[in-house]
Amino acid sequence: MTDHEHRASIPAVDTPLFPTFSATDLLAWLDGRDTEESDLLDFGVITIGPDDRIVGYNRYESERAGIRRDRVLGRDLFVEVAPCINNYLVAELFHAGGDLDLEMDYVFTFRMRPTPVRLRLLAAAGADRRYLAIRPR
Amino acid sequence: MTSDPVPADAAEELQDLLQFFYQCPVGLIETHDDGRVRRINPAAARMLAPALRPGETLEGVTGVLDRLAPGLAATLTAHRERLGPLHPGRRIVVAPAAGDGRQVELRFVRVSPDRVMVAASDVTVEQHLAHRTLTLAARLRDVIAATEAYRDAAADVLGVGVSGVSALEELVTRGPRTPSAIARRLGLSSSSVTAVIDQLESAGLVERVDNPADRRSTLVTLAPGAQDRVRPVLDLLLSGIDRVAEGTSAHAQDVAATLEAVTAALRSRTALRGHGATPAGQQGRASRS
Repeated sequence: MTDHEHRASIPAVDTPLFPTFSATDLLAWLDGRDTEESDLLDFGVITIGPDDRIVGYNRYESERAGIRRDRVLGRDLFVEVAPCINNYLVAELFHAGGDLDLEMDYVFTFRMRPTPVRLRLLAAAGADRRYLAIRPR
Repeated sequence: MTSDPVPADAAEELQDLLQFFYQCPVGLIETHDDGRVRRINPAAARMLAPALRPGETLEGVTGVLDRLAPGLAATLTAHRERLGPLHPGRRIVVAPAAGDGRQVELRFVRVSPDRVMVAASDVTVEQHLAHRTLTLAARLRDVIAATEAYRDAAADVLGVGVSGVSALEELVTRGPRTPSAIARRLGLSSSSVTAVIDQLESAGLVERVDNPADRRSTLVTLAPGAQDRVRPVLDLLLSGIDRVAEGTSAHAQDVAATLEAVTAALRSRTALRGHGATPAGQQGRASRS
């Protein structure tokens, strides 16, 4: 192994172990793992099934929202859990069905209080799982 | 005697209460009178989010309210001394996003001297239906106007009055009728209907014949050959409209489009009069009695 090859095989010191909120490979990382592994991330991730029902709700999101995971799993994200995003800005983009990777500012209403958040909408056309990543702003 | 069970877990009860407000289809915002938001439910965020600017939060609503309707935020400080609805009987309907088509109705209710509850309802469907109703009413007026114009044109062609055209429609569709039956149908007095029948008789379009059922009265019937003169002129009114309607909507769901097509057909046939043809495409007669 040349010296150059050796340096290239060592991860840079500041390379995060897990993808960040805006990481370009976030969708691939989520798609390649069980939903429980999203607990390792330091931002919220809601995994949505093809029928809009929640199939994954990571620890970060559960703790920040104060809602237990078992209260939301299997529920319709846009109707039962987060009706605030059931509009053309978010829900309709997911329902369009194509590839999706979009970040936007939004306002959630955790416990009936306005809560500014940054959203990232992630989906691959035809995939069973879609993701809503959330972090406070 | 039984009573409601006391909830075993108050936290669970709180979760249920929050879920109730989360799923409420009406948007609810409780604000201080300076516009700071005290509480807001998801439906309100869903409806107002399209009106937010990048980076703007819903921690205050003054900016977004004034953007939706200039001066609207002043409602928050109006009538501090009076609790209850702040604009009873007045509808405030706004469009949170240009081109989105959504319509939201806002109602302001003062719940304390320094706090106002804003209720937001999505009235898009209601507004759409109201618009459709107005469109239908306009199309119906068009049909009425076009029908009257068509009858005028038909009267010119046949050389009779408009009431005469209506009497001919009655005879073509229902066969021989007594003068009194025609009068009832057309809403005319007996003397008026006599004048109408006299005019039609002079034009060679009808005849008075004995009534086999009542020797004291007569029947009015189309004169020999009149059918050939009348039918083509009145064809659109008598049966052609059905054909026009069938052609426009296989499922008869789009009433407005059907009415438009009927109006267009009537106007098209009426316009032919100005080019020397009859509503039915025949050569017209100059005189009209």
